[in-house]
Amino acid sequence: MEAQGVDVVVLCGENNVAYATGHAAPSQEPARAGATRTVAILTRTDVRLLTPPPLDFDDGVRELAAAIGDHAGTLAIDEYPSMLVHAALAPHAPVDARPLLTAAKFVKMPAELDAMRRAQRINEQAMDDVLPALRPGIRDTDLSALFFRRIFELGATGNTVDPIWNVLPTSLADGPFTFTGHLPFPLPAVGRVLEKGDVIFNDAGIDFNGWASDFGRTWYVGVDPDARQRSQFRRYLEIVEACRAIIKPGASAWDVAIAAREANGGQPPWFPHLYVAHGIGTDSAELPFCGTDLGAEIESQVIFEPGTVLVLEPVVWDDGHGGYRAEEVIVVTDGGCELLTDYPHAPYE
Amino acid sequence: MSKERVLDEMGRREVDVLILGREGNARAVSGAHRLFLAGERAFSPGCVVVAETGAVHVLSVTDFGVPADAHLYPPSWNPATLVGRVAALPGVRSAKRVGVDGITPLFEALLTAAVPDASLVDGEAIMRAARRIKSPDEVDHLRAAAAVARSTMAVALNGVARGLDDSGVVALAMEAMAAEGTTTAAFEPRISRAGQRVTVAVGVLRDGWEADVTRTAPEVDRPAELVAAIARCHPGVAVADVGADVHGVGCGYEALPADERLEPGMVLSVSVAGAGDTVLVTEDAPEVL
Repeated sequence: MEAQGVDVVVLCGENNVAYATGHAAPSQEPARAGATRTVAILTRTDVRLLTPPPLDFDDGVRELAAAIGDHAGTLAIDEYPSMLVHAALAPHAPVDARPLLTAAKFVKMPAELDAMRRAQRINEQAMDDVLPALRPGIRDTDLSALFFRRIFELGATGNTVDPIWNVLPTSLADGPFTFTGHLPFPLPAVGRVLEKGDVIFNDAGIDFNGWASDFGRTWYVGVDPDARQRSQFRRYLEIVEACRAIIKPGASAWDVAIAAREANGGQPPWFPHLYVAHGIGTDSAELPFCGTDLGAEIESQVIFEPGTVLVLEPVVWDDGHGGYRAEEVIVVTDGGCELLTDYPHAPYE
Repeated sequence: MSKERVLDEMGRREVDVLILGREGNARAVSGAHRLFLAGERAFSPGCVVVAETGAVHVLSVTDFGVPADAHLYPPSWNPATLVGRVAALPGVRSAKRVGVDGITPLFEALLTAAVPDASLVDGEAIMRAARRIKSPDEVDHLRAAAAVARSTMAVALNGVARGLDDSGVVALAMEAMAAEGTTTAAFEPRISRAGQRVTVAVGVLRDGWEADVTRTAPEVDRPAELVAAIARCHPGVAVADVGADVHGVGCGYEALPADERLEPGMVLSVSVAGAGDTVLVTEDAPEVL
């Protein structure tokens, strides 16, 4: 706020409220989350939380406007939950709170990293407990059921993403339409019965006190990987190692995309509609993004600092023979980076 | 699907284009089944309805989960690129009145630049009006969701009876919900304890449609207060006069103002005295789903 000359910040987004105040909303579908949201009003010396009636109606908007009152100076807001809020706050001529939020969130403090580690451990342990159930005949949603049971037994405060067990075609031509021509990952679980030989890209994320985890691995149903699949995994590791070698303070988001591409023989090893890496914090995906369609010019200006957290998620794809994908959560340290992910790549290691 | 009702409301309110960020709105008008993410999200143009063409456009990289009568436009990480794609949809750039169900400072700037003659108006009011009365098909979806909520509640109450702690009850209930093929909760089970009394609230989102149920153990029957409140759910009664916590349910939570009058086809979550149900308002007696 000080650096950007902002005097009052109004936060309506739950992940922003969690970041700024520690108030974590329960995990719930988006409309309920919006209607029951807690709003944070920050000055440079004070934090106020309020939970007004739904901001789609006048009484809720009046309560919010009254709480903001006649604060002097520059007021920033992250989002307008409705056009009624937009109209009510127009006299304050709000500026965009996003620049100051992204600047603040870009570096995680030690206590924040501890919460993220805890989220990651719960996520990894739960997936480890799901893995023995992976066999021909089980449904994708049954794997979700086991995962849910374990995350709550292990202390998760919420699930954030409908768990993904994306069965892959071996060739892109056999998959659904996409604008990019690549796979439409991630697709939701639909009760599909898994068959022997299926290859799955999984992806799951949980919440621990407002902080997100991210887990991804490639699993094989009822078979051991063949020689081609083993080579895909080796290439995946090479790409991860190449990225880790350049991730350090001063490196840019685009540097990660370049390193990944070079380690993959010049071809980008990621889904073209996504990225090779993304940040994570109170949002399951936040800045920095590496390898998106934002492109070199923008991503080159995003420079890592100690405490920046990234999820590397390269995809190795041999069309006609499937591929390998996994995720590694990485934190930038003073001299380089270290893994927050602490989980093997079964069945390889 | 409520597309026709949305187009009717757009016509009535002289709104040329509706740009929707809320997933429940996009789901209601398009039928698209995109990956579920829990939690509130800032506005982003995820679905566009154009009055002139009657077309519904859905933001998605794939047609998987998107009904064949909806059109697709591809995502971008660059908000300016994304708004450019929205503005290029037939009938958008010439719009005079654009309804939105939320906005951010960035998308406000980009949209007003890309659709220069347009003023941004309250699009949520349109969606609320279009979604409040459920068609028989939609009631069937809600009925199916209610069946999952009911069986999930039975498992949760069984966990309470076995003396499990809160996280143990949540773990069992979420497992049971997903084992029935529903992997998304409207909210994760909520448990509150007062002495021997344990109140459990369950909400599921089955195929995008919500149902809720709340019970207090050990006496798991509907208390008289809830029976009476449900009995008051008749056409013409104001929400405030039901005498309970009331909100609408459909493609998720639907907020209702206190002075809203009930009509046949509205579906409500009604809760009071530690118990609650999902209720269909009809011409005759209210039906507990």
